[in-house]
Amino acid sequence: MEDSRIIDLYLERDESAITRTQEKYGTRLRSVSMHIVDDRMAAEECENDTYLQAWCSIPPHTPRDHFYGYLLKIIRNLSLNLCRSRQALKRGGYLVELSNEMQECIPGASDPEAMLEYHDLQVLLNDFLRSLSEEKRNIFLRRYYFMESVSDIAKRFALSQSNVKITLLRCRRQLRRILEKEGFHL
Amino acid sequence: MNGNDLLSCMDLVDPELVEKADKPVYTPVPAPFRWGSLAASIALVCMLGVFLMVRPFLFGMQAQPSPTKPDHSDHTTPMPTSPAEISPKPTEPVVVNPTQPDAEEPTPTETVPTEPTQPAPAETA
Repeated sequence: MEDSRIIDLYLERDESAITRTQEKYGTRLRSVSMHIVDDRMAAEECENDTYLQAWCSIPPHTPRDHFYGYLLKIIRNLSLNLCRSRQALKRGGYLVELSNEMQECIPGASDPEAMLEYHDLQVLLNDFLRSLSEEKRNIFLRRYYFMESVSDIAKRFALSQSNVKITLLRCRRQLRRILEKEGFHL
Repeated sequence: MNGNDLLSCMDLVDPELVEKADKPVYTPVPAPFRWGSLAASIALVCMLGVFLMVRPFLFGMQAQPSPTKPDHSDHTTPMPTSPAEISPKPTEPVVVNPTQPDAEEPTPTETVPTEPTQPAPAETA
């Protein structure tokens, strides 16, 4: 079923919208959550919470163009929040490792003024990603959006792990240069 | 902002780019190994080996003597008992090829030309 038809079902408050969403994107959403929480039960919990949140947020939102991207954003945040709240998942070390890599290129905002700069950051970040080749962009996103391990990314793109690490390092440096040039202090 | 919030910054990424990055990758799956064909090959080789080992026992009695080897078991020809019966074995005549010279032809030696001698004057009567 087309995404726009599923959105219509949400707008009509038809509960079959959740079933249709699960049929179309359930496996992929669970897989994304599994990469973050690394626990099957927790991933299923996040998936169900995603359907609930989508049900509650459509309307007022109507993500007709990128419905799957909308669901990804929800499940990613839910999975991250679950990792933060549940120490039993033991994903703290992995998240710290990823955040340390991110600190090399994305500025931290500790005050509201800096938060206002997030709109500019969004524009720069998306421009930077669009300037990359498709493979580099996907490697960057697989690592920092989908939070996949380097070994999984290497398998996915049929590259060596060192090649993936070097690609990520160069991308981070490039993003850092762009942000510093635009006045962001890292 | 702590480290975890940095990870949340990636929410700023355009959903279109995220969707493209999450396209399933279809990697070519190698064909499953066919154990049946391996087992059949091994069985065939074993059967061939067994056949080669058993063959002398199966066909040994019917084996024909090899034409290349002399048959020493044949005693049908009676041995001569008297010296008269022993005829001298005719010797084969040596055929000499007439075209070929028996001995090497002598190499021509260089002859030193001699000066013609003047004829003696005729004696006058």
